[in-house]
Amino acid sequence: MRLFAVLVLCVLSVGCGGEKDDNTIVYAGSAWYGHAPVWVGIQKGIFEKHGFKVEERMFGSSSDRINALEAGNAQFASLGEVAMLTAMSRDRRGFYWIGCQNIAPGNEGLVAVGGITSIADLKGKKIALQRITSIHLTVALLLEDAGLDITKDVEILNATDSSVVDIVRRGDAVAGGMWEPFYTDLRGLEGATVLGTDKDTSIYKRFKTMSGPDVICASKAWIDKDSARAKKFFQAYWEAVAWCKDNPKELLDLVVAHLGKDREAVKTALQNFEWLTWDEQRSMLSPKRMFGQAQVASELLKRLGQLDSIPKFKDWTRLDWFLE
Amino acid sequence: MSEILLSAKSVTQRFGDVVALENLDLGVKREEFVVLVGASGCGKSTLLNLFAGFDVPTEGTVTLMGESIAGVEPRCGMVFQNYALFPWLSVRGNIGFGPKLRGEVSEERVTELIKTVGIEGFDDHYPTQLSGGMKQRVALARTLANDPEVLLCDEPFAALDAMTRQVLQEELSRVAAETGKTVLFITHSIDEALLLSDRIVVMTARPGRIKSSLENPLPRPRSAEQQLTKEYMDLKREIWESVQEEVLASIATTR
Amino acid sequence: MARFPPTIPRRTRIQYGALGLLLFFALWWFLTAPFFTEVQTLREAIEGPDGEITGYREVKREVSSAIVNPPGLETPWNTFNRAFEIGLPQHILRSTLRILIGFLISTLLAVPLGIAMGLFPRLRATVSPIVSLMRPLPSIAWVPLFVIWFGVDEAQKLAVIFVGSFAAALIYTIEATLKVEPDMIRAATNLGASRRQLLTRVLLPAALPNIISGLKVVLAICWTCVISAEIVGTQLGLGSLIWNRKEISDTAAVLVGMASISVVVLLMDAAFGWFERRLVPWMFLRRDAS
Repeated sequence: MRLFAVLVLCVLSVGCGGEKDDNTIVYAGSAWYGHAPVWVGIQKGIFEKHGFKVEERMFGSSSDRINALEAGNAQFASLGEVAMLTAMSRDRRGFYWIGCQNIAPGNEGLVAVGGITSIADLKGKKIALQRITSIHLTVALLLEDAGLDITKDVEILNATDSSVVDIVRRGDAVAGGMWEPFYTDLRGLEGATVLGTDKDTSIYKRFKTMSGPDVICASKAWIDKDSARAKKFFQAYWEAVAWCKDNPKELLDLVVAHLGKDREAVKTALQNFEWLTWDEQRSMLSPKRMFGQAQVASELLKRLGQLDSIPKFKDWTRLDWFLE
Repeated sequence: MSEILLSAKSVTQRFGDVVALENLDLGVKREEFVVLVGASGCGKSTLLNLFAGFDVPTEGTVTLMGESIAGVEPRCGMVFQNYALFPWLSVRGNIGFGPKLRGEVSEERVTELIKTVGIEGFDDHYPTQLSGGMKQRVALARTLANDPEVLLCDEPFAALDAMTRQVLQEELSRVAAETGKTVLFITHSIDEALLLSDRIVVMTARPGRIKSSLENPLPRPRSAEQQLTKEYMDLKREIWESVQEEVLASIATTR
Repeated sequence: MARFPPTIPRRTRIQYGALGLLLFFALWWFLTAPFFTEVQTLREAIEGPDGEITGYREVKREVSSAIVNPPGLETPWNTFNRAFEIGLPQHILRSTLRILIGFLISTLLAVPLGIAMGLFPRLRATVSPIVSLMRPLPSIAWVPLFVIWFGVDEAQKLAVIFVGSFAAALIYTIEATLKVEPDMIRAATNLGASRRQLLTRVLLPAALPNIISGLKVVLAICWTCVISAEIVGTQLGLGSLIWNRKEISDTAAVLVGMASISVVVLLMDAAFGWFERRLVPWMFLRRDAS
């Protein structure tokens, strides 16, 4: 009987453990390089300096992070723009689109094996990629430029992470599209030819951004509660972003240590990262850059059947912070 | 006929460190109805299992009609306390099971046996639909269908209520007499032993041995009224005291 | 109490079951029906002629709202209608086929092996540790490995379903075999059954009821693998539907997918019960007055 009571108390106290004070901010992240500013902010004490405590929690997919923001399980997150746009199209109003912390073109691409050297040769063949993500858009755009329709002229095999590489290696698909580090793995396959990266797409050529870049979103409830404080927090966050920009070598060390990955692989990936500062956000969130890109991306997603209607994404932004 | 049909000679049975039977001798004559009584755990069931061939004696021999019993012996048909009927077969299916194993057609035989044990009208019923008493009748008929030399009965009526038990005791007596079967019957109930037996054998506490053997002088046909006679009471007391000695002895050793 | 456990006739049971479902849908409708109108205050961006944002304003919007408003949870009718928008019948059919075949493979391998393991303690002792190691692994853990071994075709999906259910099927079968009443076996040998006859005429029918009730559970276990089975290399199937729609925040479709799985499992359970009554009829007989 006593044992039972002790067990019940333990279970209850675990439930209570989630209580946080107002200053602990939960960040929904993962092992992707785009989350580096948060690791920097925590480890280099930048958040602490401004009186904030940040805790990173792992959420596998971008859509899960949006749900976390809306439910209040996380306060801010970096996630894929595709997930953000689809959530917006479903009228999810529980989050804000704060900004864009990096541009990193060249970190994802389409690789073919078996003697295929041009995109046009992919007609009627199978391509492995992770659907409804930036790579899906990239490949759609690359195919479009070569006169192919992704919904009709090729067969897409959906897979996640390393499975994309395995599928191509097995020969179940002649080409695969994925982002780092799997992009490097694809290029390492026998007979691999790079058919194109997100740098070769029409979106990049027009807007100088990737097909579905990382964006920063935050919980509406948290920001509305104390907008001034939230703004102060994001300025601190962008201070960490600026640090990433100004200290590439230390950043490399930090990321390698944090991820436990091979130094060369990390170096290759980080080389493509352009970190965008607080002051640059205003020009990023404009029709020439992100708004134009978001419009084109939304239209593409609509053609791919993933959206019913193009969202008015501007309504989710907080440019008032940057306009002051 | 007084030839020995079933016999155990100098049988010792060990299970690991436990000595269940030690140097046991027993003989059962043809057409004899022998009832084995004794304290719990004295090895009655163990002995029965040896005769059925489910176990092999550690030392000594068990024989049927002079031949050593090696492996399961269908000529020593067993009737179990918990019936062990096959629930997926009907009454007819259960009774005819033995012959069917050998590919024999036995419909007439089965009908006859159904009549013998008194369960007419239930041919197509299934065991789950029967009461305990009826199930035991089916079990008996099933064993008889194989026409065994010997019937081994391991407290077959212990799970039944008193009324049913009495009815079945009378049935078994009648069937055994009619078919001329040799029976080795185990029970805790001295009344049952006195009702059924030609001879009562008392076993000692563990390790089991034959303590005493007593011819049953009570005249047949036997009925419940006899239980009130002085002769019956004397016999019962004699057996009871013999068994009780063993019960106390076994309690003493386990303390 | 006249009888324990208390029972009711089948017809009454069905009536109460229907009532239960009715109450469930009534509650669902009640919680999601747009009884109220709410005035929502939304942000709207004010744009200049070139598309740049110049400021924000608040816009009031009248929306209907219900007692509970989690995103994507709509009234039963709307959810039902959604089913047609997303091509549900195809998804149901494809998943059901995969599950059934995966289940059959699991069963055909597990039942003979399980019986053998029940009969031969050395075999059981050898194989059990391996099964224990594999048993707790969620089917999704196997997916990347199976992509490497089997590619992205149906074989890979069947393998996921198989690996998620085999251990359970095996264990249920072993238990069923071990639970056979020993006296029944003794009685059969006593009646002259050979080893082969013992296996086919006694052990199998004796263990069958428990094997079947175990397999009923295994079928439901197979369904829990449907998402991991369909996460790679397919666009058709309830698991694929749920996963893909989740990625684009289409919660209504996710709910449709989930509800479909529940309904299909319910129907399969009923069908299984029908088979059960035919395969092991003696388990359903009641005692007559006798």
